[in-house]
Amino acid sequence: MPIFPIPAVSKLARWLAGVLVALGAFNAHADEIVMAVARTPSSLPLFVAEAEGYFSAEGQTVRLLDCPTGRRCLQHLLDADAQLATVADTPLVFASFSRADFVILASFAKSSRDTKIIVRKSSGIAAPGDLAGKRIGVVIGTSGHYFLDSFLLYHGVDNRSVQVIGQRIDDLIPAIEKHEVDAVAAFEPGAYRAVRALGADASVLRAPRIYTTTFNLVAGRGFEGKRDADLVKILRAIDRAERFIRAEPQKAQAILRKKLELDQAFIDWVWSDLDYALTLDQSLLQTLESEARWALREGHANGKKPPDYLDYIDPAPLTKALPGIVTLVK
Amino acid sequence: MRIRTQLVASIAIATLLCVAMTAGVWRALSVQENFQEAQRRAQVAARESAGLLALTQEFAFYGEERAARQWRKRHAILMDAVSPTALLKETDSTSLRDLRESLTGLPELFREFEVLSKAAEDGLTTRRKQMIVDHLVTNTQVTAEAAYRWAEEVTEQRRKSVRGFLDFFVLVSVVFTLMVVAMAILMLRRIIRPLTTLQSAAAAVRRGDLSVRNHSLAQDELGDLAREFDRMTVALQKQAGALAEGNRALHAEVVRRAETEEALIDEHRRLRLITDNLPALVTHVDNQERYTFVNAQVGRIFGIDQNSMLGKTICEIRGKKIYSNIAPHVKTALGGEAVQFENTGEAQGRIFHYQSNYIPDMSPDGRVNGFYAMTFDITDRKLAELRRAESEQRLRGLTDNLPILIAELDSEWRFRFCNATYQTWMGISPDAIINRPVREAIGEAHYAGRHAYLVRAYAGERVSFEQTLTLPIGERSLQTTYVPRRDPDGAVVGIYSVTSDITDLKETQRQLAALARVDALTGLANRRQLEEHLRDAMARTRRSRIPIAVLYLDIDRFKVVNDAHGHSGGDTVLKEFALRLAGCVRETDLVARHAGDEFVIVLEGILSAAEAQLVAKKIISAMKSPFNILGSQLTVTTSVGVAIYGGGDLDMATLISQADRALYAAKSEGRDRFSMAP
Repeated sequence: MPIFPIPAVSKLARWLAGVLVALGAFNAHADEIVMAVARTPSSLPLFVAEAEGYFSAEGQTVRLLDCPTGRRCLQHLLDADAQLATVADTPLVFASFSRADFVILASFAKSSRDTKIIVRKSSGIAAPGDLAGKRIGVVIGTSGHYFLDSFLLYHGVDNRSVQVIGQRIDDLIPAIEKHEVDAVAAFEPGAYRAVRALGADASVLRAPRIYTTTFNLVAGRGFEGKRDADLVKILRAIDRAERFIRAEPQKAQAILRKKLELDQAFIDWVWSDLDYALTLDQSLLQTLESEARWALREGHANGKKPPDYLDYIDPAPLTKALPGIVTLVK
Repeated sequence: MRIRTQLVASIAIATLLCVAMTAGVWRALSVQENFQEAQRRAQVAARESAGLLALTQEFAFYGEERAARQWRKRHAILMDAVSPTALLKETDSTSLRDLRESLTGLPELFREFEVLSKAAEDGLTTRRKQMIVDHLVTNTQVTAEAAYRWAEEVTEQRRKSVRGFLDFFVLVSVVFTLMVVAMAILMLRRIIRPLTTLQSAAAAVRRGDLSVRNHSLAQDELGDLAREFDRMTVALQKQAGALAEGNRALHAEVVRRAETEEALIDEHRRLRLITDNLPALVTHVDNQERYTFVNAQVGRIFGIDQNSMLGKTICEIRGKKIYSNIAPHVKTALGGEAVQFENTGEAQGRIFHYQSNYIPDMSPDGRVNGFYAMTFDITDRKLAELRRAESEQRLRGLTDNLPILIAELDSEWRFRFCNATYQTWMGISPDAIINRPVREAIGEAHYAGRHAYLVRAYAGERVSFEQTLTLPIGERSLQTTYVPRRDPDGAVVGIYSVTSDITDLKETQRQLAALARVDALTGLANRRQLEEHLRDAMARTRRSRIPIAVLYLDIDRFKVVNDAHGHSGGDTVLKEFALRLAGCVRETDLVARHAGDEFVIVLEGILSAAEAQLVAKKIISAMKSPFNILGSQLTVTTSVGVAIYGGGDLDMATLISQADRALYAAKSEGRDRFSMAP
């Protein structure tokens, strides 16, 4: 009689193999950081850092995970598909109502004109007031959504009087093209694409400088505590990339063109509105809170009051990476 | 590169650097001014934006009009602070742009909020107010942050600017210092070093070293100067060389002259020493007949200080009498001819003979400056000559009267002397043969007989020989002796020849020889000749076997005769007896007186005893006639013993003894008879 019955051996072997495979996978990706990066001009510092090898220079293996919007990027983070994500403030606010497992490490880009209202002239829209009763396409839960409401209310147009039609980012341009909507509230490069798509029929409504979109680097909660050293290096790589952008705008633009597969006209369209700088200011907190109040007020989110966004911000890595930059007091 | 070019370039660079530095400083200062202004504005902006934030919140809460006024005032100050000016261009930045942008948007929002705050409350208005307040506060916060960032940025820029200025200043200072150092090094290398080299070279030249050269290869002014210096030293060296050569020649000439002078002085001193110690009077007389040089001997001889003679004339010194004697010689010498003469003078009471030599002192051009006079005291020589002449006269007088030939030959075989006997004996005049070779002087015939002896004598041998010559005075026997004459070294320098006439001596000798073999009384052969003859005859008989006979005889009773007539009577008998005996034999037979009255006769070549007996009988017979003895007649008889020798071992004495015994036999038999030896 054999000492070990064959079925038992087979079972143990399979279990061992599984463990080994899991260990191997863990080992293989132990140091790699997956960063979900939105395909927007605001993500340029990340594109540059990758293209110029600044992550590698800092000893970091960073894999960029493309996503069409910051909101999707955040979702990757929340789904644990990525350890880091680039995302605008609005999706963070929406996520903060249901999730607390992410932290903001820094803002790395700002723009007060990133989000625009593009209208079809043929729809009879010439001024903000003309938007009342019109169909306006937007990706819900994005900065476009917040900007649209802010725009409408600023101009005294009740947002509830317009038909806000939620769209997937990929469907936004086709929607206005196909006259499914009369206008869209879109961030770049969607705005540019919409203008290009509508051609002469397009009109960008002048917007007051009421909302400055921030693009932020977000990490999964817990990751930032364990990997602060790596995050410091990544932040330094991003800072280096931003200095590169300021010093070598042509090369930076080339990287952007290539990454977004767009032409120089787009760059010319967007470049002056972009401001790449690593910050972590009080204004970010205020923006988040403002948006949270807006979301609750407008019924986009459920809850009684905004969460304490200081809990969603970890200034330590940036403070360590670039001393003197962080003005936010936690 | 030329130093001038380099200096100009250096000055240009220094000027440029100064200008650049000045420009840099000016620019830095102006930038600083800009930054200062920007910083002031940024500070204003930061302050005002903070105030703005507070006023926004105050107004949002309380809607105070005062707050709104203040808000607008502060906003205006802020706008002024960020307004673009020439100064602010320099510090234009993202944060300033952000600041301006956010500031620009604020008034619209604030105004909208002001309007809404006064409007009646409804749902939309409330939602709008809340929305705008949030945006206003957020944007004001953004403005404040932008202002803060701008201030930070300006401060940083200013810090960087100051740092940059400092860097620039340090850089320029370093460059300037480096340039000064480079200039210093360059000066050292290109100016000071060549100058030092030149200075050393100049110092070397000062010390007299003209061989120093710079050999500069530098293509600059100092190189030119160094090369010019080298050319100068070359020229100087050449001149100095020529000068040195001249100096050397001059020095050599001076030395030579000094040496010559010294040599002359030495020579003069030596000459003076020599002349002063010469046993001669040495003077020099100029053409005015004045003494210019007088040696010490002159002073000694004349007993005066010779120096007192200098400058005085011959006449003044020697007196008119003597001068008149020598004046012709003086004239001759001053006429340019050397002259020698002998004379007699007197000095210090002594008569002396002297010989003077006047040698003209001629200039190279033939002019006579005077003459040198050398006068030798030849008194001793003169006296010796006289004495020798007297001696020779005396000798000649002696030799001329000697009966011998005396001659002296020199080493050349010439007659130096011969006495007058040559004239007497040989008819040769002494005067005629003096200084003539022997062969020629005495004639070939005489010479032939003497040549061999002369050769031996000249070889150093004393030679004597005799000759019989036919001379004008007849045939003479001469004995000649050659005695070599030697000099002190022993070398033969001539021959003394002495020849004497030995003719008489020869005759005497011959007579004396005859006397020795003959009995002096009877003239017969004496006993010595008998023995010689008999010995020879016996020898011949032994060879020829021809017998000889010996007859031994005496006078019978000669004692009686002697006693009766004395010895002279006896001698007369003996003489007569001998004479008769001689007449009885042949001429070749020998008759000898043996002793006293005993005689021996040797008969040679006899044929037999009978022949001897015959002779014996003849002798006995011859004595029969009476002898006349001093006037009286005397009868004398004789007895004869005869011995015959026909050869064989018989000596002479035995033979004579045999004859003697035969005589005795005859005596015994009665005398006057003969007896034959057995």
